[in-house]
Amino acid sequence: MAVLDELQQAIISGNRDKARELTQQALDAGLAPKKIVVDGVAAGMEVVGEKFHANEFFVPELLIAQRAMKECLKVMSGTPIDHIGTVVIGTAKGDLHDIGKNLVAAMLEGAGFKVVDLRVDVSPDQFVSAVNDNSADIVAMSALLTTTMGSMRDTVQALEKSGIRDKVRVLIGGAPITQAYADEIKADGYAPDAPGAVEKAKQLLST
Amino acid sequence: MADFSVRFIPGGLSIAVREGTPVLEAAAAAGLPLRSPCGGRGLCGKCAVQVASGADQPHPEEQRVFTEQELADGWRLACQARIIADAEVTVPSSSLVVEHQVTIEGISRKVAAAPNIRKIPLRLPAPSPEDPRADLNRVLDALGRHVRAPRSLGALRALPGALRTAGCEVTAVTAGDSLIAVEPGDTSDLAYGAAVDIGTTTVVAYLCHLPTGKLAAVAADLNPQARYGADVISRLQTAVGGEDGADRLCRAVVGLVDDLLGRAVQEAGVPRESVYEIAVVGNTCMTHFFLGIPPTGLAAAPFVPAFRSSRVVRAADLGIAVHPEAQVFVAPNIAAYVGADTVGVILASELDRTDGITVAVDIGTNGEIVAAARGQIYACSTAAGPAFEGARISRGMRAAAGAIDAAAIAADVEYHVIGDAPPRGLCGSGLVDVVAELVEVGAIAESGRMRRPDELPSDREKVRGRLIENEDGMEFVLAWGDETENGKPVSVTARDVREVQLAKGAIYAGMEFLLAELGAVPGDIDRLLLAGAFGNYIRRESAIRIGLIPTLDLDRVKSIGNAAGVGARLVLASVAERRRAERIAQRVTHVSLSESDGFYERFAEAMTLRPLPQPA
Repeated sequence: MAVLDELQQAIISGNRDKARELTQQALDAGLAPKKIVVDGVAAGMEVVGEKFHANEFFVPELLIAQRAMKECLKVMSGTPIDHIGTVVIGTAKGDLHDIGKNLVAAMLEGAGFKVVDLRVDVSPDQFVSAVNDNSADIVAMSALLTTTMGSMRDTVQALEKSGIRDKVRVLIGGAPITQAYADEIKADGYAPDAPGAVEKAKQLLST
Repeated sequence: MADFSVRFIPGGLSIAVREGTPVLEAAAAAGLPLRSPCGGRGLCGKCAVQVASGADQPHPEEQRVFTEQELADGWRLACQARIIADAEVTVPSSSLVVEHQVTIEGISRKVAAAPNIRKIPLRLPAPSPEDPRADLNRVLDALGRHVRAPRSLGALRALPGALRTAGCEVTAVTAGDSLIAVEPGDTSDLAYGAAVDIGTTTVVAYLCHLPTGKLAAVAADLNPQARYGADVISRLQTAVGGEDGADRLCRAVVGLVDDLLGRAVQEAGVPRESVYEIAVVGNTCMTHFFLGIPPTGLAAAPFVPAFRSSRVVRAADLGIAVHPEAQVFVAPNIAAYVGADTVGVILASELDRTDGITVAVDIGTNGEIVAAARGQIYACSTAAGPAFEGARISRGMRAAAGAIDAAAIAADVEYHVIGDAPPRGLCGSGLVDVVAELVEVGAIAESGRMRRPDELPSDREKVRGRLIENEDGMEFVLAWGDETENGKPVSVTARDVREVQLAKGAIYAGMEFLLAELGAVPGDIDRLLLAGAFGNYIRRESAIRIGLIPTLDLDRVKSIGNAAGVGARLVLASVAERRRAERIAQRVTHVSLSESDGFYERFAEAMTLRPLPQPA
């Protein structure tokens, strides 16, 4: 679809006005919101993620793409979108670094997830409440400091104690995080970067 | 009581004083501060003046110090002679207070010498049946009521020997109001202190002659904690990670300080025991490590230090071998990530007394920024990262021999290497130059993407030839293998450019945020002071070109080198500066960027490599 290809480009180049116009155009042409998100917005964000990975794009480009993406979602906010899943996201207790987490949140949203962003310094109890309140499919946690990693383990245990551990998938990431650590704390998945997180999140939905 | 007029020569200043006022006081009131190392007790003879008329009869202390002829010529001790009639006093320049000129690397501050350590030469009467006073009392009596007995046994143990070695001549050493040692003979000139700046990457020790403030030697080296991580966060993680991490970090830095002091005294040709005091600045984390205080609270939000105000500890307790009674003064911190070194910068640049809007930036690992105007001072830490100090850059290194510290690209690359040696890598200033030049010639896009050779115009052949692609991505070769020390080329990689963007974006956005607290924007800056690691001088033009600092007239931008080190020297030189440092630490308002709304966006926008702010 030409309009969706153009929408992808508008997102990749961070053109907010074009993104808004094209989204409206697509809706007016009778395209289903879900299709607009998947073939327009999410596809565009996926290319953004690939370019970030290839070091062609950096944080500023991701940020402007994210802004364009938000314009699209705003235009469609009146219409019901079938989200592919719900993610609760935040940084571990004691950690205030949120650039990575913000990128993941943006890309998950672009990929069609409903994202509940708890922001920073989130305690295990806060994660548990949010998972319950939003019937979340995935809880995503990030940490930049080894001193705050332990809080991820605490959150997994808190989910177990509340009896909801088997209802939600735990996805973790951040500079000091490794697959080995994810295995150690019995998380369900680990991703080394934002595009990887989107991939993993989609995989976890089908488990 | 009558008032009399005292006229001072030179200067011709006249001042009215009450009858009985000591000449010393009158001189101070007239703006002529006279030396008084013994604190006005008539012991040292340094306040000698010539009184033509108007003073009382010479006191016993003066009769001891001056000869008959001198007294006849009107020589008096200003601290003893009192005004009893209209007077005329001639002050020789040798009696005026020596002002320390602490000039180093671009900052010049004059402070009146008022060190905590005083060495007072004494001529004591020998013990006799008429005067059987104990050794300690003999000395304390000579020094006056204000000096307290030493607390340490070491000083007492050395006392009897000292008193009997050089006849009646000894030198009393006081720290504040405490007697800490008595030495045989007149050793008043052998008085040294060390000012130490404990940086995350580099530690510098300045050995200073206390009576004159003159710099005797400088020793610097890399902080050995680097093996536990290039930045403060990684080291904190080692410290709180269990085992004996904190202990190892403490010993690493204390060991280096002791080592640097050893090198400095050797260079100056003086014994270690002639160092009587050490003044230390460093970021908050470093001061914790140095003192062996667990920095546990600094490791995670809400980031609280274990202490904030200045500390005084015995050097011996830390394991630093200088004079056995020497103390260490650690300057106060401001917040968890804005420390004593920033207080040092404020002290050195007098940001606490500035007119207009002045901003000081430390282009180092923590990227501390201070913005001052109208009596308000704000500070933040941008956690810029160690890119400008050489870490996380593929061929990055500190500003030492072998580092490319400047570069230009015209038809081809030209670079300058510190020490004129074959290049081994590049330091912060070289990195900023290279990135600025690469943007200028189009090898790097403003977005930070390193272009492929075919994207450059064909007349840029030499430059194109230096853009190489390998499996890790693009890189730009500065020095080919045959030009370098180890045969490997020195390059700047595409990922290095990203590190620069992160660091400079944080600093620029941090500056914007702090200025907003003052209701100002970057264009309003009257003075921008660039402080940095020892030896690292970032070129202003290059910094402006890539948007590391705002676009300002160059005469508003000044490099002030290792201002934190100057701050350390100032607190060593004068106890008044210590009190000022304490007041500064209390006064500064800390802004937490990571908790500030909208910082992430400003940060991301500031990453673009172009002059900022963007013209409308």
